[in-house]
Amino acid sequence: MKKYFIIFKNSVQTSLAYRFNTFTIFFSESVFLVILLYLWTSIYRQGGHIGSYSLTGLVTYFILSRFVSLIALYDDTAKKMNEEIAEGGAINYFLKPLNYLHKEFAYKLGTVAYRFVVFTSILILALLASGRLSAAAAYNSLPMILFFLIIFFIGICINFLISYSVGLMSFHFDRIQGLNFSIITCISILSGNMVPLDLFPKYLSWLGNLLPFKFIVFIPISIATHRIGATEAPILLLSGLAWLAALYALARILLFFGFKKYEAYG
Amino acid sequence: MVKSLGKYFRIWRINAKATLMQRMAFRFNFLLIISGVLLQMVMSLLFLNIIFSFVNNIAGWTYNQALLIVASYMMVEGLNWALFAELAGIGQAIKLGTLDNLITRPMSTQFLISVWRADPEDWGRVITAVLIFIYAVPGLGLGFSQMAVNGFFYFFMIFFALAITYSITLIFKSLAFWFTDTNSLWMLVNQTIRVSQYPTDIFFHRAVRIIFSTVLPLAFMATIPAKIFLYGFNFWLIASSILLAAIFFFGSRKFWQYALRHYSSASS
Repeated sequence: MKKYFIIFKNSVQTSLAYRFNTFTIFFSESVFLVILLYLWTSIYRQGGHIGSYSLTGLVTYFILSRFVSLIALYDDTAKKMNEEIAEGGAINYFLKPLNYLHKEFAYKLGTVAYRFVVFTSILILALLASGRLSAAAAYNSLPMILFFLIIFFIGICINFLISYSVGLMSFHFDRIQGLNFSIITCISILSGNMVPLDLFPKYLSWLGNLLPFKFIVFIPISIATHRIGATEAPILLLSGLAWLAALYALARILLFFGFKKYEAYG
Repeated sequence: MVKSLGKYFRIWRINAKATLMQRMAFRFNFLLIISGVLLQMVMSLLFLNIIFSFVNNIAGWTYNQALLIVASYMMVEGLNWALFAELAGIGQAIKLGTLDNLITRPMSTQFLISVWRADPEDWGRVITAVLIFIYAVPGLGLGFSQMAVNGFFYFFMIFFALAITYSITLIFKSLAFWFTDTNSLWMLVNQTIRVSQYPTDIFFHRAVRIIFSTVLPLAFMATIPAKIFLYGFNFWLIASSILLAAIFFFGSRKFWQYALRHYSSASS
């Protein structure tokens, strides 16, 4: 366990060293959020109404979606693995008493932990500044906060396992940017990052509910905004865990077949 | 001058051909990148369609008019990628030290860094944009002669929109000389340009509208070209577009030259 903790710590230190990245990501997401807020406000000001969402509901959704995506959505595991596997650097890890999946996950957790601390602090400060911290705290009960955090973590793991599986395709193809780019775009659409899934046309909404991407953005936000209640918690937890198990199995299978094909350079 | 331009065009052509050959060496990957690019286009259209399934206009823009803005945005963004790959090469070249190969050549470094990694798959964005444009036009209620005249000024505006977009990209990407890990700069540029796909009339605060028309002239990237196509020649809008394009182009060039002085090779 200690070796993975060191990887985790290294990842946090790398994130700290590249603070500018965090600042830039935050800044770009904030600019986009402001534009979205203007867009929705402009629509509601002219008397429009989007589905079952009030303006406040939609604004809250998009603020939370930016927050969740800042922490959970940006995953460069596949890109990193492609560089390691295609250029032969991965052999350093394969020859060591390390589980490659655990090593990558420890690294990912380091990035997530760093971003969680930074962006949660910013969110709390923003709530404090707007005088809404106590209202937000009173809005959610402790079990619901716990439920949100568990589902949020499942979403992070699902996103990681998808990215990891894409990265493992590097054993079979020299370049995986195309696959990675397509998957990231699909996730961006079907996770509810762009628009809440319940506003999609029926066929897309059905597809979104069928796939695991909803656990990354839509489900956590629906819990935080009480659109999903405690009664749905067991079934959501079970289906989230089932997806995790299925993706974990897929990752193991891909690694197994990948090793069979691997020819290290150097 | 003409001879020099010819030389630059030839280099761009050779480079584009080499990049295409490089991409075709990994055909499956190339095909998937194109799919991803098309999916991104679908994403923008889906977003617009979802909004218009609930309302009939956004800040006074009807569905077909809003499609025109999206088409303009896609055209400018697509050209920025297809011709200059959103200057993605800058960060990489600085990080790996390969910029040495470019600055020592007897040509403008800015030109070389701009074209040496053009993305052929992004012509897909431009083609999609043109198709959306063609789809949107019949619903705008313009006569043929009006379309021809306005269309001329529209494509003229698209050229200046591209110049502004290129310049903003260059300014952001030049920051890579100070900050080595530049993955997030790509995101910053992308998100900023993405904003231009919405009509700038949504900004009901005057100050914000001024910012997006001058400091960060996103209005000139898609909304104003679309307005020119819809309402015809407008001297002030066209003159402002030319002036802003000139200011941003020469400003970004100065900033690039200043940033280049901070380059310390990583290869030696």
